[in-house]
Amino acid sequence: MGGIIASFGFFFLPLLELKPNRLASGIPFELLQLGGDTRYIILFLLTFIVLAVALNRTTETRGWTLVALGNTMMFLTLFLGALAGANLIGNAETLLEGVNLRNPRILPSAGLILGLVGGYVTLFGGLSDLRKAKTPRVALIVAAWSGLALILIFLLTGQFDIYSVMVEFRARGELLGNRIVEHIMFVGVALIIGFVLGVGLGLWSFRDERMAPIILYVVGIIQTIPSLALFGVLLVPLARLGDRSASSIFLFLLVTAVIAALAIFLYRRFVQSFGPRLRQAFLIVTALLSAVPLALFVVLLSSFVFRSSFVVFTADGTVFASFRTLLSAMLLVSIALWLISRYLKKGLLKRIMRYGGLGGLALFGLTLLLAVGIGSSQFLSRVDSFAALTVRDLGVSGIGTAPAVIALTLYSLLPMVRNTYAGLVNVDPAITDAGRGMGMTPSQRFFQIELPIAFPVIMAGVRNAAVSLVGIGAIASVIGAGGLGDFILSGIDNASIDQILLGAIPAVILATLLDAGLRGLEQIFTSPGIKQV
Amino acid sequence: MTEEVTVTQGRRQVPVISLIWLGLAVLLLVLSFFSVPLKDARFAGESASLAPNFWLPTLAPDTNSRDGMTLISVGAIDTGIPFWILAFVFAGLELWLARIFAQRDEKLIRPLFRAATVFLAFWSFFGHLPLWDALLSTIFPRSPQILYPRTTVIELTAQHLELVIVSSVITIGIGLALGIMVTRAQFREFLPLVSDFVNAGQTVPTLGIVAIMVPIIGLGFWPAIVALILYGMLPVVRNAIAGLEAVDPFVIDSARGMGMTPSQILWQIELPNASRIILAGIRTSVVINIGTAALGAYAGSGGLGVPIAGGLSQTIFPFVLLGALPAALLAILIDYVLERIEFVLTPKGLQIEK
Amino acid sequence: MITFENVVKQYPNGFRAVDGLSLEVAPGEICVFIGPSGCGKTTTMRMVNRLISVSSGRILVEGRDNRDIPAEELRRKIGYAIQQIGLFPHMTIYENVAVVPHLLGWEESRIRSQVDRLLELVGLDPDEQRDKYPRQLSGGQQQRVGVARALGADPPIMLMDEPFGAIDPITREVLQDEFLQIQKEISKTIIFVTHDIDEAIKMGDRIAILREGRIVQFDTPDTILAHPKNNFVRDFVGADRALKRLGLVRINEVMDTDPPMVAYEAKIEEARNIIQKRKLRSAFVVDRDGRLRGWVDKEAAERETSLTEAMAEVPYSDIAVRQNATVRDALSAMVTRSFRITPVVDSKGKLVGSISLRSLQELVERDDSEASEVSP
Repeated sequence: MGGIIASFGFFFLPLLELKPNRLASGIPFELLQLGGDTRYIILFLLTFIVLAVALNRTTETRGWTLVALGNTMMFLTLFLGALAGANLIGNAETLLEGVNLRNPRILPSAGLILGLVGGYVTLFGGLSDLRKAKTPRVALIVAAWSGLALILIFLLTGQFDIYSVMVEFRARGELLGNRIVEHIMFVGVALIIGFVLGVGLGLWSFRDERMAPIILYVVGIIQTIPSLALFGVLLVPLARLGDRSASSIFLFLLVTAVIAALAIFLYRRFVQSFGPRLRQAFLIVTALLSAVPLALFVVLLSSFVFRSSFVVFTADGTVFASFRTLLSAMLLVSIALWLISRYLKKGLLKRIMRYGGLGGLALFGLTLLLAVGIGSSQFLSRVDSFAALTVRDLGVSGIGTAPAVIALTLYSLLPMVRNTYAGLVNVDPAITDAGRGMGMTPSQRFFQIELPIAFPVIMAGVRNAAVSLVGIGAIASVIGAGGLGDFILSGIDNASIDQILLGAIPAVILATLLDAGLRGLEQIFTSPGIKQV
Repeated sequence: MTEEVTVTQGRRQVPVISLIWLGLAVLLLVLSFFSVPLKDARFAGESASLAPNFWLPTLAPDTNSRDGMTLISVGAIDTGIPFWILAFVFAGLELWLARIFAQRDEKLIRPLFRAATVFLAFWSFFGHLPLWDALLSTIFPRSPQILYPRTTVIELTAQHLELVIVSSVITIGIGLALGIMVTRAQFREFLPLVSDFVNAGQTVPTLGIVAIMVPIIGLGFWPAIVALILYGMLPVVRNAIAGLEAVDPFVIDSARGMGMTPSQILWQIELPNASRIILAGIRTSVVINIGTAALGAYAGSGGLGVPIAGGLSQTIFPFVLLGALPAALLAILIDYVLERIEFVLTPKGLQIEK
Repeated sequence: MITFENVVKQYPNGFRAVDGLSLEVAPGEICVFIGPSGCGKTTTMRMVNRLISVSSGRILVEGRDNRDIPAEELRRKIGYAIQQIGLFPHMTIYENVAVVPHLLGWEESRIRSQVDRLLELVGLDPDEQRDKYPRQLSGGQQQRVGVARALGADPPIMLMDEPFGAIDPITREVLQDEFLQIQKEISKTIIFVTHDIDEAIKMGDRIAILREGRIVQFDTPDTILAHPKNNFVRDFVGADRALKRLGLVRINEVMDTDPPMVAYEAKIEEARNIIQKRKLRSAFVVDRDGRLRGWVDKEAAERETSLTEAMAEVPYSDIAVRQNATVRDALSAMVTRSFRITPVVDSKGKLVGSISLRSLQELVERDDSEASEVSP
């Protein structure tokens, strides 16, 4: 508990900063400089109480006290900060004499951040006490989230609008929504394609021991390339590709696909009659030949799907704008229904909720597909003639979302491949042997035994990839892909912390939610017989 | 990663790496007889050979750097010696080393020699500007501008390395200390808190961390360094904790039973046993730092991100590649060098035979 | 039921794991494969359900060449239990046992009753264990589930590869006894691989001793112990094979059915007579129903005047051995109580015979001389 002391020594740092306008730098104010208002003393008192309580020995009461204190501290730091901020703005004329005042704003400063961190540390300490005391789970959840919930309520009701980030948020809320959707879109598309490719490659390396080191090495190399550099490197070939006419590319795709199919057919047909050396060489040639159309196809498909769905979800003022709200509402309601049904006892209600939830999810998927379909038809209807169609019209270009989606897909490969491979390799051979001995076919063994057992490990890879993609996705905006990185970049240009935070905070929340959601999926679909890794 | 591949030639074996050096030497020797015209405006229509000279890296305490104090400065010197001579020497040395160590499994000199020579080769190629000019003008025959003005590839690479070295040294120091601290009995209660923060830190976008430093610290070297330290710290701490936690408790228990003090246990038992995981964390951290350092361009810290950012904002694609290609190569190169060092530093009993 | 005809397994590197093996497993018997590691016993077993392919020769399962049956179909008809158990960790006990019935497409209700029946058969309470996961069970319980799973679809044949190998000795004994009991009910044809000679002797109706891919000896446990074919078998079964063999022989097969017996109501002279006539040191006393009441020794019989005073009256379970116990048990009883002769009773305590230390000695000696004649 000693750590709390440290975090509170910093209370003497400036709490808030008053800025005359959006761009100029501000004046810092410490907590005690905020006028003689006694209310702020409460915060100091709180820290001392924490210290006193921390010395106490009994675990459970100490836990509850610390939890309460931590939550209060986090909330009060923000709440009192907001009050003080309002006060400062009111006196801005006198405080900032002679400066051009235009929309003065209040910037949270180091003291405020540390107040929050300190509150969190206190809360965390309390929670670990409670966990040791075997407090019921529901109580723990309430304890952990009550402070945050309170803050969230205040945030939503506009109580904290005094802070400059919120000002920025109010001003750009609509744009932020679009950027978030963009961000989710290219991370999501990359994640899905990466999942298919990554799990496929992982399977391949599992099945073919000689390929495993090669595949793992190649995806490892991709991972080491700096994201900015990869975006840059992809730019040129994609730009070149975009200049081609669509028909020539389709022809190329067709020809290479036929060649690849022929190669695969020949390989399968004659593989037995070759020596091991020749067989290996033939395998590599076949793999390379089939990789060409496959890669091209993936590039075209991902860009096209992305472009089409993009039209649907980010178009403003059309009927499709309402899709977003509808879809997200549908998703949330279905998940909620389904989750609640898990805690209900067997019965009609449970069944209704369960199937309602699952049905909702299915409907969500269908709607999504439908939307993509509508988007692509809209998208294609803009094209005059097929002959004039270039690959760029299909969504492939050097600048924009195509390189972003492709680079993100490449980055997602390593964790997926590695974890798929590791998960499958670590399935106890005795278990697969038992399956074989009982007369399971290879596909039954894979789907009924190997996959379910490796599932948590594979999902850990997916989560890993998802979290890092959200972060790397922010960089994609340097090549004009949009997303939350736009705010960060313009924030750098304007030296505006608010704008940077407006990009960074949603990214953090997005990554956390994605991680939590995938973790939830993982837990739902992992058999309770397998210990959580 | 690099297995000891050998080809049989008569009764003696010539290592493949020697043959590669030899081939490179011959190629460069031939190239040095030809000159190609250079396209970029700065060369004013001159011609040059594509074979590079031997460039040496220098590492010195910072004297008077571009933007205030940077602690160290990385530089590059053109020695004037054609690189093909070096390539011949390396081919010979590899052969000689293979002969000397033919009988035993040598795991110190050869991996380090290999790492050093590969690094020097890349460094020399980075230094030879006509090579980049020729490469980029081949890819972009119609582009009027080829090379990023007022600077060279090697200079940008040196700046990039400056960022990486300074931040990595600090990161490793703090990260290891933190990792070791929270796994000690007296601070163990902070372990969940620290790993919580480490995991949460993962979700913050790198660009966000770099960006947020600009309004707080200002443009230049240090905001990038702080961002690099913050983000690079995560894998170091995480792997330090994971490595130290993974040491078999019975091993520690028997060490204690033999009368070792806690610090003896840490230095002689725990750290060597955890070294493989810790070193892997350090390597990940450095490689991540190379990537993040490229973003430092947006914080005005210099480095290979500069031509990328510049090229993107002015839509001059050769500039983008001029930054992106060396940055990608540098990352792969440093990853390779670190992998060799990691291999040498890992205790023999813990090395995974490949 | 299962016939091996000149079966060979040769690996690409030329190594012959199984080298021309022929034998026939009769329906309803437990045939144990035993031998040192690398002798090909597991390979031979795994060729039956085609987990390993036969290089040459053939294996007939129920009269059909097993290569004529699709591998998966064949395996579903043959129960399979292994040392590592290999329970599927992500499935409940119920789901584990139901795997093969599911593969065969049984109806759910039939599967349910089958699983419950099997769990009961192996001594697990279905209601309590059905919905648990393997990791919630002890090692012994897991192995019971493993056996139940192998019995899943009532296969006529079972392959068991050291099924009790990874279990502590006490539980192993219990499981072996239980399994023998179960086998009495289900009488499957079983190939049982082990490296533990005691287990082989206990479980096997017939034992095949393998070495370097060939059968060294294939016979009943008794014959193998009594007449080891050569030094390899002799070494393999161990120096204490005589003792082991005693564990196979039931007392009623070798006992003296005319024990020195005197009625409880008889006079003391009668006891003296019997002891003198048969040159013994003691005689047993029985009641009117023939139940053992106690014994009287030579000195007491000569010293005392009435039988009731001369005899030592003890509960029969303290001194007698049951007639269906093994000779080894009798030997053990004699050694612990320092008897030279011990009474044999039936389950109701009726004296049915006696067995003496000397007769045991003769039994062992006779076996030894016979064995050495076979292989000097």
